[in-house]
Amino acid sequence: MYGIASVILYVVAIIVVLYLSLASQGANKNIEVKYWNVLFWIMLLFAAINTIAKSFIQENSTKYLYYYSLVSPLAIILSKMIYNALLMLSIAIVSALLFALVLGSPVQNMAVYFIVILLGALSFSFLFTLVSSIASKAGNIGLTAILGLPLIVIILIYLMKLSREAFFAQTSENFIKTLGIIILFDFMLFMLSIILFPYLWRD
Amino acid sequence: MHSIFKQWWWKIVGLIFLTIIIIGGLYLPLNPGIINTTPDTVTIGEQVELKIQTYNATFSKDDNHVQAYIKSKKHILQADTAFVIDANQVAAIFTIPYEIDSISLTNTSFDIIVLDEEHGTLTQRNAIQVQNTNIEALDMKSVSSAVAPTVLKAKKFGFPNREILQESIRNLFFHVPMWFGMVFLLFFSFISSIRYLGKNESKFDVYAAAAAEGGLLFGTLGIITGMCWAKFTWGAPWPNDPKLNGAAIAMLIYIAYAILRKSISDPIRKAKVSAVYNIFAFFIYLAFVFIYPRLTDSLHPGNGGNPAFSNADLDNRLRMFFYPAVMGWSILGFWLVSLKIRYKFAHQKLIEIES
Repeated sequence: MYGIASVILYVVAIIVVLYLSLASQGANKNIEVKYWNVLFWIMLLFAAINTIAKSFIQENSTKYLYYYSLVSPLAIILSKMIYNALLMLSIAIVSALLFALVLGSPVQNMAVYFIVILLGALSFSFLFTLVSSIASKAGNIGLTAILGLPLIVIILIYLMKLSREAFFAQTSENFIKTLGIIILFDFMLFMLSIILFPYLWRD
Repeated sequence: MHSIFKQWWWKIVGLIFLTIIIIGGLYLPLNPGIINTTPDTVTIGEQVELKIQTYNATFSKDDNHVQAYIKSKKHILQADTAFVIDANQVAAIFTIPYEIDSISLTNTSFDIIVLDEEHGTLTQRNAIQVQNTNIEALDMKSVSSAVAPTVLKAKKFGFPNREILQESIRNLFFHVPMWFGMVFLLFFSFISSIRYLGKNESKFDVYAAAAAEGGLLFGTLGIITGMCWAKFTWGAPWPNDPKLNGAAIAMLIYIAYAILRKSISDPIRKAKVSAVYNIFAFFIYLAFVFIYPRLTDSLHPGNGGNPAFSNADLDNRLRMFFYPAVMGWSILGFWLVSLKIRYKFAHQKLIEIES
């Protein structure tokens, strides 16, 4: 509970910084849709890195040993990924609401936007959970960003592309294609995570 | 695998390929081509003399078999006369008819074609604009069609002379094989990482690390050769092109891999953790190289209606050197990696002896 509260506070702080920065430039109202979209996803990205990076550091090593004797690595990674996905989803919803409150919302098609946010939460969670476990094994939590950022770029671009669809009442003909690509990506990340994590765990 | 690395025959094969493509690829001449045509605008109903500047041609003044045409999508018009001025200059006199294109009479661009038996067909696309300043001329009809000339090939061997590429077409034997080499080396690194996780033998970790370094080197060389080429043909060393951006991010992924290796001191943990990251990264790398460029139009051949890597562009003369170049540079890459691997093994032994 303490974790979730700190994450929400983190997001609120970023949005306040963002809002005040934009206001200082006189650009806080009627911000162009494309910049709204980019700011939103970049903010979510950094929230994801900050949140998920901690997911393997918080537990101390004796606790790890206890887990190791108790459950399979598959259960650990699955539960971490599901937890992080739910966390990211709630962060995304909170930040979308806050964005709408302070910057206005260009979203026309709520259903599509929810799908995009859900897929984004899943992508961030699947990718950064494994990357943060790699970084924690390397003993350097700061590595999560260095290792994860180049990997997330392509998914992030597709997510931004897909969320543009939600700014119009009608989806374009590319919608299904982009959606399919992201789902494929998420599936790939999910499979890789559950296949590779057991190798990291046995240590 | 290790025994293959120590053998010498494949290194000789690679050296032969590289010698062929460095000497042949740089020394053999380019086919003749047209550089420019003056004037570049003509008006319908007028008679004009076009001066056509060629490159690498050896026209002789006695040659009276030179033919010249102008050609749009719909029409083709033969010159009244064409004659040679000097070895690299041809003049052609055209009488531009009134009705030159039934759809758009104004500002139609025409290709210019010059051919003779020795030099083959020389083309400059969109060389001249045909203007229509005389509106009354619309009604007048004039014969404007000639029979399209058959495309002739040059008698002498030479690389194709493409308009914006010109001599830089030789970079095909250096720039493109770098990317092939990078993909091969990174694939080898990926396979080695999988085998490491399967067998837990430290030699596979050494293979994976060395091959990733080799891949990074080839990627850097690919970007440098590509920037030279882009500066020449597209006018800027870093146009906003998805393949360039994808390549740059692919490099970041493998630099991150190198940093990850440096940050872990325990060798077994280093091997395991970096193997996991390498496998994970390779799938994303593949997405960058093969899916991301399809997201938007690219300036590169084969994307977005450019002079493409189709059969028309990568012709047999280029293929003769391109395939050996891919093999030669890839072999050189594996050779470099094998040296690096042997160095790392020697280094490990040294540490064991010292401690």
